[in-house]
Amino acid sequence: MRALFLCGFVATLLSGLGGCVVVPAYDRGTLADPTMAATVDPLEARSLGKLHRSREAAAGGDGTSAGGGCACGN
Amino acid sequence: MLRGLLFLSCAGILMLDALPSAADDPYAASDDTETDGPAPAPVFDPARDAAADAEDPRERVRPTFYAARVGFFFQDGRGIQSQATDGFANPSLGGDERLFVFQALQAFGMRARDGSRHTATVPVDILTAASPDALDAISTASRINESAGLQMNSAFEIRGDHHLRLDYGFNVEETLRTGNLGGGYAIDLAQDNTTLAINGLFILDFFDGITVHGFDPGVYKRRAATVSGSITQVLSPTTLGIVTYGMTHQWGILQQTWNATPERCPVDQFCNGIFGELFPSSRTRHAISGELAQHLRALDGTLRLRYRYYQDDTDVRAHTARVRYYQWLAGHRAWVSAFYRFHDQTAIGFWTPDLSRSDADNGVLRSSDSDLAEFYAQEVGLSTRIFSRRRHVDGDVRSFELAYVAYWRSTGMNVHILSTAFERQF
Repeated sequence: MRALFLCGFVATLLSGLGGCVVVPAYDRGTLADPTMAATVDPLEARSLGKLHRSREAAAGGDGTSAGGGCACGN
Repeated sequence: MLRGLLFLSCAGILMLDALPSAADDPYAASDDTETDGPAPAPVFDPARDAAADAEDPRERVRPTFYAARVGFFFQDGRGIQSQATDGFANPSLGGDERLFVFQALQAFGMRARDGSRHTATVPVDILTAASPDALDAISTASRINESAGLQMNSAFEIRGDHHLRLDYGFNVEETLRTGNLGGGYAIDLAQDNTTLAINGLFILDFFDGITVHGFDPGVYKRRAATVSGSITQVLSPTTLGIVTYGMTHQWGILQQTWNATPERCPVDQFCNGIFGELFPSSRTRHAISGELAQHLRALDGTLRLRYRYYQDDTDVRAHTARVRYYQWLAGHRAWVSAFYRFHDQTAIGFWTPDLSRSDADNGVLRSSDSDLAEFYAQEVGLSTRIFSRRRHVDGDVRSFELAYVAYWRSTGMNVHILSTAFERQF
């Protein structure tokens, strides 16, 4: 059941990547919306990221310390 | 010292909020055309003009933003690493892992005359626990655990489409110290519709290798090098896609030397031995993630989907998926946001609830850390942020946020997080 859910999620994600167009600068106003930023809230991402790195085994591979600096990283 | 730092941090919020804003800029042009008559002719004064130019804040380093976040983490659960009991100890469930964390994060952004941007992030954690470590059943040394650090990130624009970044920082937590240094390069292509980036970071840790029996053999080292690459692609006027791959290689003393694995007793015999956790001397991790951000014009909201796959050479495999939605309110003066996250992982290859003495003597790899066991975790979050003015308008914008997150694992651990945040864009 879990595998089915994850496969469906990945398929939905990949379907959005199906079309790539060159969007001119005058048509990219919506992309300046703060909710469209790569990281909407860096401090929130850092706070929750530390929770996940310290309570799960999948830290690292994304530019983070992966266990560095404290006893919390796995 | 750290408590004093926290107090100063809170005072800093009030002080920075009182800083003059762009609206108070004496050099800002005025659109007030209502006068009682022609304005007096300006008096030419080279000395005054030179002094004014020298003091013009636009010519020096100027702040771009200040952000602060305070979080209260309440954890409840059980794990083999804890020897704390609730009066009815059940060895199969492990000890009490209740703990409380107070976390304060601050970030300052500034822009230099050459256009480079610099961000300083200061994290402070204060953790209080009943007895999360096997060692603490003896010493209670970690009943209150404090950590603080500083992380610097600098971004430099070169020839418009080329960007460089520099990252460096340190963190101190009781007997653990770490430093990191790294950088990255990014290039914008296809009229800024595509951004390719590559980043690298080296991390060096020093920590006292305190054993499960309280012996301190001295300082140990642990190193990590991580490289990641990403592609950010504009897919439509309202759609953004991001794909990231990263690899981390660690080497040195990788186990938490004070983590314990209970002794497996022979049949009909009593024993109460514990052995220290033992990891391989190196570990390589891989992670790939994809994210889609879609703005929904009809609803004036944004839907974000993210998936991450993780794999390492200690047999850990993990899938993580998250869906998040932001809804603008009151003419872009506020938003509410909700997210759901699902995480599923396999256990580390040498996870075991106990170990025979002969295997321990033979150096068999082992860990009984509940964070490295097989489980799935779910997480939901709800937040709201209010802005002092329409977010898209240039100039001084202040915002305030309240957020709640609930996290729970299939192994019985759960965490509740209440946080509040303040941000000011100059």
